[in-house]
Amino acid sequence: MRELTIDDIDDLAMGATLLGTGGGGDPYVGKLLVKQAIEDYGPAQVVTVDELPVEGLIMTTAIIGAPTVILEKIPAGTEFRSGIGALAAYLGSDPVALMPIEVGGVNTLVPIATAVEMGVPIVDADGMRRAFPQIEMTVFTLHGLKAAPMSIADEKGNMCVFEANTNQIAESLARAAVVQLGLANAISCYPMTVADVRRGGIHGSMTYCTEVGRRLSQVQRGAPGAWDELLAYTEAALVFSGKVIDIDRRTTEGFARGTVVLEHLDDSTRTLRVEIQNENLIAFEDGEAVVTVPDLLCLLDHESADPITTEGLAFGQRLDVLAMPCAPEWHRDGMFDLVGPRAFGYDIDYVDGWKGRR
Amino acid sequence: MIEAVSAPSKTLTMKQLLASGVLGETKVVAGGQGVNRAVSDVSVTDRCDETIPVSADQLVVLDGSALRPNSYALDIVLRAVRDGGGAGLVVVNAPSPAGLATRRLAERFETVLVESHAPDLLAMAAAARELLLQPALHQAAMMKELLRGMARVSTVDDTLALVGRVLGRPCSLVEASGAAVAGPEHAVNPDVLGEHSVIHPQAGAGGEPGMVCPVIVVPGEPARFWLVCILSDGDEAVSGSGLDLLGVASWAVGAHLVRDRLAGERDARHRLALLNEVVGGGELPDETILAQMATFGWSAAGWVSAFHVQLSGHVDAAWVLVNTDAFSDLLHSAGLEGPLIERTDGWSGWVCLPEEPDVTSYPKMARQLRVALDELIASPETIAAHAGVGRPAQGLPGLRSSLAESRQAAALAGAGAAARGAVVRHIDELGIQRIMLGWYGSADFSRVASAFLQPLRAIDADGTLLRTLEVYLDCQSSATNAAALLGVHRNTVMNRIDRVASTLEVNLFDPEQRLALQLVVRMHKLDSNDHSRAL
Repeated sequence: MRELTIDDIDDLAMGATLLGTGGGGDPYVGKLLVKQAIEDYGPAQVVTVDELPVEGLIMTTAIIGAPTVILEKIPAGTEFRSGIGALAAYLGSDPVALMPIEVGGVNTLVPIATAVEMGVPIVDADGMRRAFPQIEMTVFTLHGLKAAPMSIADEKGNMCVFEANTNQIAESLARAAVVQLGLANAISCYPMTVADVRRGGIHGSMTYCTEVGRRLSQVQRGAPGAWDELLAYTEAALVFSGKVIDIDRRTTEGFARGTVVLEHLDDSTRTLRVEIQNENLIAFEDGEAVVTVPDLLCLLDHESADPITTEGLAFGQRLDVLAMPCAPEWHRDGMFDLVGPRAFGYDIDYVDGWKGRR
Repeated sequence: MIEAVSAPSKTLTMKQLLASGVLGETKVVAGGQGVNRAVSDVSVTDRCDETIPVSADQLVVLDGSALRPNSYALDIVLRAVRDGGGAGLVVVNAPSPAGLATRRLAERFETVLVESHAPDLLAMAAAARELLLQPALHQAAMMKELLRGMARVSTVDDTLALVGRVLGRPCSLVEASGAAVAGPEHAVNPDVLGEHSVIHPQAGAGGEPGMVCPVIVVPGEPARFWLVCILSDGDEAVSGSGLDLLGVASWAVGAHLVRDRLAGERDARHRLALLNEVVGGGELPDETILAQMATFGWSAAGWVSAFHVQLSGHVDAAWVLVNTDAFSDLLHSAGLEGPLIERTDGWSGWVCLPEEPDVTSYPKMARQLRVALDELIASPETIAAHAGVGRPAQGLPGLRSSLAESRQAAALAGAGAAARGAVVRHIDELGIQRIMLGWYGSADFSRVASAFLQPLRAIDADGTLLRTLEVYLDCQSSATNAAALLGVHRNTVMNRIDRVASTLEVNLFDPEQRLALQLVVRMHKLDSNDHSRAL
């Protein structure tokens, strides 16, 4: 067990922004929530699954909704505990620890704040180690672990608990509930035993997120060798550096879709097309995919190295396009069906030709 | 709309295709630098992945009705078009214009990206394909006309006329020198007669573009004839399909040439066999020979004067065969009308007159023969001819004796012949020289002469010494006259003669040795001429 103090939060939030790959919700509000919670209740206790009793219940909490709404509708802070409480009551058991579903974006931080408030440890693991837009897009699904029963709660005390046969149906039901509850709610899903998380989770993802954030902060401070250190730690590659010459945003089928076109800084005939569905999903150059999901596609400001979220993209920005490998736990049967390009409607194959480049 | 294209035999470009209107209401949105690309075919697809088949110069028509706005899928199709060497991409009925990324990509690939709206995509593609197939259909129609016509023509001239009619441009058969042997006369630079190709204006004679195609008469042998079609300026349209047509026509022309050559050789063999019967006598009764002669249209009635022509230089039996008709025409023009029979080294022939010709007419016949021969061998210059004329005599026996005399006269003419040009002798003018015939006909003397001259030939590869000796002896041992004839200094002649005398160990001041040497030189010259007979 280790303590997570206010001093660690900035690096964690920075890492969460990067791992959000443009989406996942801006961690800024989450950062404020965690800092307030630590000030009120003391540091967060971060544990590994090995430190918990095997039969113990691990629960999750997260914000679910539309990124654009989440940006404007600040959480009340009570809905997360309400949702967990409702699900715990349904299950008839209290959690021994909380866990983030996704380490990437705002949902990295929300469970920490809730865990601090509830006085339970937070588990250093998750189901994505990046941000994905749908509930079923977790390594838990690949392991056959169910998202339901799950609860949805709003800040006014409305909540529901429901069952679903598959994680895909769970996503549909949750999405339907969220539409009725204001598009920015608390969700608690994937209630699992410690043994389940040991078997099916991505371990050390919060530590990874903090380390990535720390290295990125050093890059932003201009520390010597920090850029190479970041690339080496994350096994990432710089695939393009360009200026935004076109942004096309559309909200269709419940997703914030978009296309960003970058013109290369050194060769104006080269352009990179980044396809967005809540997160940056695929980059095309010369009509050929160069980076695809589930690998991470991150856009950084060329000067400041700030991770740029999809909402923050603007014409004329100079950006570095970073490709990072997804967590190795993803590489299992069913990965491409669940989170490959075709799962997002792109009729192309997964590519990893960028790996090994710097 | 299809009729709007003015050059149906030429492959269309994207620009022409767009201008034709078959693609509907179009707008080139990017990649305009590729509008001059040739388009060979149209394919229609509604798939947007990199596996869509695209062949070289193919125009891809994409059903864009299901495309999402600013879809990445267009980038992928553009890439497939570029990678496959396609001519361009037409997106039909897309709900929104192509995004900037796609437009920039089209510019980068220099691939024309066209947006079009057409009520019926398949009908549009079919119309475009029909338009693009016009050149191929036109070529097929020309080929069909050519093939049908070839079944009806049986001569080289008719074949050339047919090709000219199908192509709409005159077509000739030329030999290696560039001279036309059939069809309209064209000035063709021999340098362009090579592979089956289009001659560009700078390569063609007189600045004319054209097409050439070698005619292979015997497989494996180099071409001796070429089909040549002269094109007008700006006539590239016809060259693509025309070249193929010329290739097909060359087979037919080659076949006609082979057939003509075989027929000529067969007839020549028959004529020569009969001539041997005439000359030999005894095997067949005269009546039978006369009957056979009649089937060839030959006559030995009245008074018969025979002649015999021997060729030397770069000639062979094929040359004789090919030039028989031309020589016959020349004889006819010179006033000599009668049979002409090909031999391996020349011709034999005769004229028949109802009355006995006067002795004074003998030189006239020799002159007529010389005129015809001079014209025949004027080109190429590498051929020499000598001929003899026999005395007129009556009937078949007369023909036999006149032929024998003509051969003797030709042999004597050959002994004194120059390296080129024609020498004709009448047996009657030979006089005392006839006593030399025995010598010239002797194989023993030939061998002795050859052995005697061997030391001289060993040091005289180009024949300069031998030629000098011959001229010196013919000039009655006058070094001054010989020098004038040879175009060298008198001392050069004397020097050469001294070398000859010392090499051959002869004394040229001894009249007997000098006579013997002159005979040897004549004999050697006859043998050299005879060498060509073996060809």
